[in-house]
Amino acid sequence: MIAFEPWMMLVVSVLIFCIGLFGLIVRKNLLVMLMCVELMLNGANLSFVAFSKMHQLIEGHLSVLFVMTVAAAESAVGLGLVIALFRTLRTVDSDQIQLLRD
Amino acid sequence: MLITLLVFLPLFGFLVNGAIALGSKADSKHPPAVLTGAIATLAMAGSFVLALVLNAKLRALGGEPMAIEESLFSWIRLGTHSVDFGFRFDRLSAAFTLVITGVGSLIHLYSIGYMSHDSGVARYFAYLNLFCFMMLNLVLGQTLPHVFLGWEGVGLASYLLIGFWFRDGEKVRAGQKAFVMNRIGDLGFLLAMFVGFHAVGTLDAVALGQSVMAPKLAMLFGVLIFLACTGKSAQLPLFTWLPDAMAGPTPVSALIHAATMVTSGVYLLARLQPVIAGSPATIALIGGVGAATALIAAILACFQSDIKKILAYSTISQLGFMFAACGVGAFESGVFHVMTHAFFKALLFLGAGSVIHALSGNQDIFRMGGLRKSLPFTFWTFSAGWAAILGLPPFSGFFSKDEIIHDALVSRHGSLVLSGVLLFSALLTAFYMTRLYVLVFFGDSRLSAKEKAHVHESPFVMTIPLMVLAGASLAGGWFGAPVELASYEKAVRAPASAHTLVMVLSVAAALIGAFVARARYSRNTDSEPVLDPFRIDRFYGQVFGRGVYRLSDAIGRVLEETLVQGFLRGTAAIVDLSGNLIRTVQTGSAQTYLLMMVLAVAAVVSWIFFGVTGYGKF
Amino acid sequence: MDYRLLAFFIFSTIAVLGSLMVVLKKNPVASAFSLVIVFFSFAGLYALMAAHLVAALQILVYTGAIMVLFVFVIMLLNQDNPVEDLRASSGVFKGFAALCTGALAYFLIRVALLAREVTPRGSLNDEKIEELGGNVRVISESLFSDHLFQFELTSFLLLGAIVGTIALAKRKTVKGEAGT
Repeated sequence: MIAFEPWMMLVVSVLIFCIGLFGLIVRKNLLVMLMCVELMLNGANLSFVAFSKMHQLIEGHLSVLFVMTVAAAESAVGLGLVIALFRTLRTVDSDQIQLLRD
Repeated sequence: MLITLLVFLPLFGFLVNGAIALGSKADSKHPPAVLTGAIATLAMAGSFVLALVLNAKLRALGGEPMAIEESLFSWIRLGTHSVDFGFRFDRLSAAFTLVITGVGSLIHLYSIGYMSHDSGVARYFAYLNLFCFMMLNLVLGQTLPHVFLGWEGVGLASYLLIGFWFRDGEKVRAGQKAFVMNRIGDLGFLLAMFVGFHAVGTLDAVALGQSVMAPKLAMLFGVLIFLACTGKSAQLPLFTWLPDAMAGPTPVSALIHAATMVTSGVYLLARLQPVIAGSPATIALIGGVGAATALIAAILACFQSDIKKILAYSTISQLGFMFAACGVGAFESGVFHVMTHAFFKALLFLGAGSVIHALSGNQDIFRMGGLRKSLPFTFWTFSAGWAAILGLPPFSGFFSKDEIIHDALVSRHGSLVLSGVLLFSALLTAFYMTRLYVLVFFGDSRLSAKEKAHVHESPFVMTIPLMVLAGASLAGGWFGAPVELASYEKAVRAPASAHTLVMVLSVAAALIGAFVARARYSRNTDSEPVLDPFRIDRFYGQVFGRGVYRLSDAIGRVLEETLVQGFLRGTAAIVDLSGNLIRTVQTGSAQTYLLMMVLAVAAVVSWIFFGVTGYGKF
Repeated sequence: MDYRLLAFFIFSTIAVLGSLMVVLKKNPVASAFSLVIVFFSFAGLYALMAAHLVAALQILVYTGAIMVLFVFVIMLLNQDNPVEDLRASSGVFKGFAALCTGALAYFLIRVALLAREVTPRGSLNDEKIEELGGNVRVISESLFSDHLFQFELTSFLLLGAIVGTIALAKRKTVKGEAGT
């Protein structure tokens, strides 16, 4: 009989992280790309809590709190950027925004 | 506590003046130069007094190694390693600190007069104090990361001050050029810290300097440190930013780009001296580059007509002397020359500033002349600086330059060629300095009528620093080298006659250079074409270009024209093709870059966990 | 079957499927709502590991705050033509991306499997935490004693984010006026 163990969470966290990463690479809509970043952050959070559980330490939970703070700041600024970009370029398609090339 | 106070006084000045600068921005009336200048100058003078007190304490301390240390807090903690934020005041730091605070105070005082007409005066003094704060961190920091903090900080202050008149695009670009070229050197510094930490496991400057590394690591460490020095101290591959840095106000050129910041490379080498000197290849490289820089910069200085550019090339050349000294293992002669050079070059720059100030911005030496009578104080003090840089006997430059040439001859790492190159550079130094001196102060006046009416001696607040510095240039050499570094294998003691010979030869070289210049420029002032900015290029063309032309003519005669052409076209096509191929990777789409990053991360993860550490056991 | 294992499978399946939907749905609104589902199931996973505070915050911060922000921005931009997302990337690109991320996932899961035999480094197991007054209490005491400085720093981060966002999102004033 298999019992639930924290390391299983790590597998889920890897899957979620990589799905988010895949989305970040292939999606062209900046909004969806930001959502994918949130997915990746959540995947990482899950592994923090799982490791915290495994090692019987509390610091993992604290890291999650800090990551959440950063994520909130990140999405606020990111969405602000999206709005500013949309205002100037009238698009949120990352392929149209290739200023790095010029 | 004293060292901390010494270092943080300028920061206090920076904060106060910065607040004034920010506060007076909206107001069209700018704050009086006397007020902001007094704050800045008093902060520096306070530091100078503290430095004197500390120096006296240090000398009273005795014992070996002499150092006063102050640790403030633990800065970086990594596992068992810890990097403290603290200061160390030993004899090497003491020499540099005294120069920085002493010359710095004088230049601050001078700036009150020089910048009195400028509306950004509070900002100016704030930057100047920031610079001094960072420079003191550089020379007093205990650990290499602390030195690096100062190293970057002076770079920032230098950038801000070169581009001080930021409405002029040219000057802003000069600042950027300096900043970017320094970055190349800074990379060397960073890598050197990695190498040092890897090899020894500490970042403490003294401990690292006295450590024993494997020969290859020691060489790598030394070369990387020297790369850092070539950036900051304007040595051969990276020197071109310094002439452009003259875009800043003249006192800035005197303080940052002559007396203090550009000598920080010498400080770094002297600080890490045993480990640097332990690698023969490194030290030979330093000596060679130093001597080559001394020569090339001296040649370039002979073809300039802008008074500040001549002094800038002269600075590069003198820095080359210092590095040549380090490169023959005579670090204390290098530091000695740093000190005397700080006095007389600051004096020359400030004198030049006084001339420019009197002529309302004219910097062309062919449009000056005869200023001896109208600017008496400037003339006499400038003469002292001139005599000092030429190395005429009672003046300070004589002692230090002579020491370097002598060391280059007799040291185990030195050679006849090295000292010959330095001697010839000294001759050229005499030539271009006399050229400048004669064209500016003697002969008939070639000023425009408007300038003639306006010309005036500078106020006392500017001439007093000039006089103090003139005194220092005269007497500074009598104290001898300020530090006795455990000199590395300078051992090969030459007979005393070698010293006399070098002395005679170097004075003779100075006199020859001076007389040639005097003969050429005392009469030829009018016939000389006013200003030819392409002279440097023409010079390059004559020396390097003609050789290349001859070679290519020969090749052209031997080989079929078409073959060459075909080869060139083929090369161009290959470059074009490979460029286009690589270009496809550079899509400009952040997501493509991200994909490549993921690929690399996956490779690294697999390598780390399944290749190197073997955790995974494939 | 252990009810915890069952719960784990349910929540993790929902999370994985939901995140796949975030990535694959063409309409941003659909993606956003899939993301909400993912966040909820994450809260469940946290609760499963007795991380009650984190579970609660997950719902408050992510589902409550961040998602609302996303939905607001989607509405604000109100694009007439949702960008044809997945079609825009070429098939080769997508395949390559899938290959790369798949490889990364494979390696990372191998690494995760290494963590099966871990010897705990601390001693705060569930019983101990109960004894000390519960999950929230233990976290709070650690946060406000050992990690107070970092906690205060986050306030600076948030302040910076607020200022930055306002500066970004503020409409430009009249053209030609010298603004910042």
